[in-house]
Amino acid sequence: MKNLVQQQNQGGEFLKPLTWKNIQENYCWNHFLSLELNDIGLGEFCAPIICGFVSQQIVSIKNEIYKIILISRRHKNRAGYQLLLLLLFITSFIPNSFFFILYNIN
Amino acid sequence: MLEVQISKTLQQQQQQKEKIYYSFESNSWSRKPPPSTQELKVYECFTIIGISNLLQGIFRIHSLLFFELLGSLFDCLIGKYLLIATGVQFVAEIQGNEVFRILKGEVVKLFQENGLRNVEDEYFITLLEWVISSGSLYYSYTYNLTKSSSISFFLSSVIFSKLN
Repeated sequence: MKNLVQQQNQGGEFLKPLTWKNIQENYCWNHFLSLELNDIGLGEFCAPIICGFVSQQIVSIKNEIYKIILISRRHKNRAGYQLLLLLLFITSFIPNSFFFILYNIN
Repeated sequence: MLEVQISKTLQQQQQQKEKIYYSFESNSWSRKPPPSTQELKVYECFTIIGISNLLQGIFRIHSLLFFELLGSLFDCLIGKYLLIATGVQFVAEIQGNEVFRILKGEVVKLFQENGLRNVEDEYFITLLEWVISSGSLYYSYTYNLTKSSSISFFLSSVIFSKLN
């Protein structure tokens, strides 16, 4: 659990350009399928794909316009079973996860 | 010979198209066109999803490691296939980073057809295309969707600076 938090809170990691070394393999759906392309050196043409749901909505709160984005994704090995596997949060194994991004447009 | 054109975003689609060539004789990918130009098959795609066997690809989805190893044994019999996203829909924009949703997919055979074709292969191909075109796959070239650390970046930089 400590390692996972440390990985997520490393400074400036999101500012790096997206490469195949930066991704979390747990939520990358086509990680196994892209191994051969990465060996050749054509990994740029293959984008990391998530299996889940993404949507955006524009909301006004107190006369200010915000944008809310929902990103949810499934674990690549164990899709579903979120309620049954809740105990595995203790062992830092997260089957499904979702989060919101909220920022001001102006 | 096989040619794959890739357009990374919708804006780049009109301006530039990067090309990758695959030669059947040497079984290799290259950015430059090979000198011998035989029959060309052109596929226009937005991303390459990956390369796999049919058995390996299907059982990987169901995440059974035993069958995945079993699929690697039949590698030379069945041959390898290229998974391609041909239909794409714009979904969201996160500070200039575009996120797309895959609506259509195709499965392309990489090796030359020597007259050998299994009827069972087409059944597996339809299964793979059904999974790709089910509409639950998302990607972006610039934003890291797989990491959850990006919450703290947006929260700290944008919202809390506004509140303070």
